[in-house]
Amino acid sequence: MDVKLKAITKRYQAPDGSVTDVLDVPNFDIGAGEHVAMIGSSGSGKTTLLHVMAGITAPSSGSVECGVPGMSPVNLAKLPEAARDAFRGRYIGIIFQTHHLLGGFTAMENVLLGMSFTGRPADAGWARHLLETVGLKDRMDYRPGKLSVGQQQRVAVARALANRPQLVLADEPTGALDPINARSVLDLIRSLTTEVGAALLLVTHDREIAQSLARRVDLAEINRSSSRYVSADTARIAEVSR
Amino acid sequence: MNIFQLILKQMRQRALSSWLTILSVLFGVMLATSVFVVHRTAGQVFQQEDYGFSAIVGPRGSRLALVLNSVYDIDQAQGTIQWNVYEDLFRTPNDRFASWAIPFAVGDTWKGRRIMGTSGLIVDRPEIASMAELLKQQGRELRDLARSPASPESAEALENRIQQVADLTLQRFVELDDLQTNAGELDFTIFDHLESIREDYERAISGLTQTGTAQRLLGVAAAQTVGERLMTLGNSVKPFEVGYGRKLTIAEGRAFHSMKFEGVLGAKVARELGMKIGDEFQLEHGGSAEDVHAEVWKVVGILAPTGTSFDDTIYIPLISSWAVPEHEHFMELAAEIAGTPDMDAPITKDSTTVRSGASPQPNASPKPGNAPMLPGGRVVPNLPAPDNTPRNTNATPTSPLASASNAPVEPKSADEHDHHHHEHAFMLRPDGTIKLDLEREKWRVSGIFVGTPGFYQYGNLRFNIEQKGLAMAVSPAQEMRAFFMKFLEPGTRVLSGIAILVSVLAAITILVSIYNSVVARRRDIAILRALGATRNRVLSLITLEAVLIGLVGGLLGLLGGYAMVSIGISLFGDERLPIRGLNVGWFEWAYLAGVVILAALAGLVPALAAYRVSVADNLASE
Ligand SMILES: Nc1ncnc2c1ncn2[C@@H]1O[C@H](COP(=O)(O)OP(=O)(O)OP(=O)(O)O)[C@@H](O)[C@H]1O
Ligand SMILES: [Mg+2]
Repeated sequence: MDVKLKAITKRYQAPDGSVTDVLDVPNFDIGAGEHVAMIGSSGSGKTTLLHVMAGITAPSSGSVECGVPGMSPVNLAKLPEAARDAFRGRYIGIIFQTHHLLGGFTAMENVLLGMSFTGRPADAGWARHLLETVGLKDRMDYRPGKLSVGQQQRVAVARALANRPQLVLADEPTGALDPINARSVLDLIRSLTTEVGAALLLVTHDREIAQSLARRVDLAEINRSSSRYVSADTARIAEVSR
Repeated sequence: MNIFQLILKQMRQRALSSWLTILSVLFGVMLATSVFVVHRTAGQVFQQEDYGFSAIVGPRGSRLALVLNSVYDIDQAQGTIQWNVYEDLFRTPNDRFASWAIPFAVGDTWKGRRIMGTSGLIVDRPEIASMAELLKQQGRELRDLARSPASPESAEALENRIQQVADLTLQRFVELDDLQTNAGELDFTIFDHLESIREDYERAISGLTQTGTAQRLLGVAAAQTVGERLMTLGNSVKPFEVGYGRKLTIAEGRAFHSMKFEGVLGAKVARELGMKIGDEFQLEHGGSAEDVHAEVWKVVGILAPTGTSFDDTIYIPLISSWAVPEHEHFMELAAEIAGTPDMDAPITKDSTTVRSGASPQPNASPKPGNAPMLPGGRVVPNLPAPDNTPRNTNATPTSPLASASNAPVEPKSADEHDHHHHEHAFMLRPDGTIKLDLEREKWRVSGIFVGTPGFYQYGNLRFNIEQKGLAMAVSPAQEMRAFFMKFLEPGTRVLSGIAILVSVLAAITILVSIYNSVVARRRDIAILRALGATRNRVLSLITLEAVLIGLVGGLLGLLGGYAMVSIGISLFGDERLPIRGLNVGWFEWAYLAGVVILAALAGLVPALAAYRVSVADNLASE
């Protein structure tokens, strides 16, 4: 699946009437199977852009064209919410900074839960394969509370790929991990994404990680709204994290 | 993972809260169900099918008291009615609204158990049907034959017909004694009816044996009346019914002889008093163990249980209860029994007078002067086992059935009661049957169980009886239902209100509990949405959780309610309350559906909260 963003804007209106323009992205594309790293200082709108691409948040204007092979292009921005939800469930896998697993469900059940809203029967074999690949062969029946932070994030990676998505969106997936863990989780994301042939958009602060992906995008450069909000502080933090 | 697994997993995650919520629903539904079941069961308790008889005819007064006393053995009998109320039931064929009638007399007890003096038809047995058949068949034969000479072809033919009627009438009249003997064993009232039919026979025969055609035709008409009366009698010979189609039957032994000092025990009496066939009992007057009548009855049979208060009763022949001298309210001893002085022995046990009951006895009529002569000079036989021999004045006063070993009772019999003026209400014929010496006008009973073909006839019967002012007719089902509902209705209404309140509280508990869980699970809901769940899916997820709680709690509550009522019935139940099987009525299902709908509505509030959860906001890192 390839994604084409055109003239995307996102503006928030506070209850007091004041208006915040968060996104103003004239053009941004991801090709099918392409791995893209996105950097950008804190508050530059990375998460917001991800949500727009996932159909979680509707943009204020512009279009999000998703080209699924064998289907006419879908403009997520124009779809009603329920259709966006269904589209996301079927074609897009998301990995968050923290694992966002359901506490009452085992690792295996969390992965199966990822398959629950597609209208297709759950593929337990694939779920097992994913969990084995992320190294949790003997932890499948553990609840998240009994897993380490790194293990939790691996379950989240497995769950994001449960439906063999065509686009994987990862929002600082290694942000909570130590460098060694971060490395291995990142490798898993890349290898599994490649395995299912999905495109990958990986948001990171880490320049080194960004370097390892085929293409890098600095949101500050493509988002005309972001520069206004980047403070000296956040710029320095971004500098340090290099 | 389907939606139900998802819901169950979520509920398991907060099992305590879920179970407590289910418990609150359970209690509400349990309370409501038990109230509904009790109310519905009570409404069904007193249906016409519970009673084999449509009416009780009894002395005028409290209708309820008559039913309570005669059917449920509660409270005292209200008085007595004259015997002719019973006779009137079958007097005129045109307004015969009763299909059967069983008179009864109550008021005495044995060891606290009710004793009912009644007709032999109280206990069903094959002889009743064959007697009815015989009476109908004989009556029909006579009537049909007597009817036909209405249009004679010739004087000769007419003469032939009259002779045929005369022959048959005489033949039947000869057989009457045997018939009456059998009837006497089966049921005193049939015996008594036959006794009065005897007069019609005698009229018929006296007409038919004369020479004038006019007199002989009057005799034919009388013969037709005999036939009709026999048929009417035959139609009324039906056994007592405790409940619809349920009769009292013998489990052991036999039914009492309707003219002897014999009795049969209800199943409960036999069981609880440990009485057996061959045991003897007496009558405790007015329920007092100190005031015991002298007469002794022998147990000859034990009834099969029916699950009604009729199991807790001892049955004796009506005539034997009349034979008790102290029953002065409704009987009086004829002082001039066979010319014996008042203080003489009431009973003859002289073995020399014992004769075979099978062969007709020579002239033994109580009204010997009227005994008609049959052609050929034969004296028409009369009573089946008549006793017109002079009383054996040397006989020691003794209870009819008491043997020498029962001595303590015997000497007291006449002296222990200061309130009786007449000791001899009867005498015993050689075959042990009671010959009552009480004028018919003094015969009285406590009441009559009456069967009618339908409810319409009950209405007519009631009107007919009450119009005469001597008695009243009461439908037990109608009376009991009205009585029961009067007391039950307000209580169940209050309880229903409470039950509904508790159910609403349970719904609020569902609402609060799930609402809290939704607030706590906002992030989880956002995750489900991120994984592709639509708002509507989330809405139904939460609503279904509430429905599931309502359904599980409701079903458990339904079971609990039934269990509660069943336990209550087994602890406090009474055989006098005919409770039907505890079936689940439509009302309970409707209520359960109502509870589930209420739960769904309660769940809708938190479900809408879940519906509104913003995915982007709640996915922000904690
Ligand atoms: N619901 C909202 N209402 C108003 N403003 C919002 C809302 N969500 C985000 N913003 C603003 O939009 C801007 C972009 O936020 P976003 O979370 O996309 O930044 P980010 O690039 O992901 O930063 P970080 O690297 O710290 O995660 C921020 O200034 C934020 O305050
Ligand atoms: Mg962010």
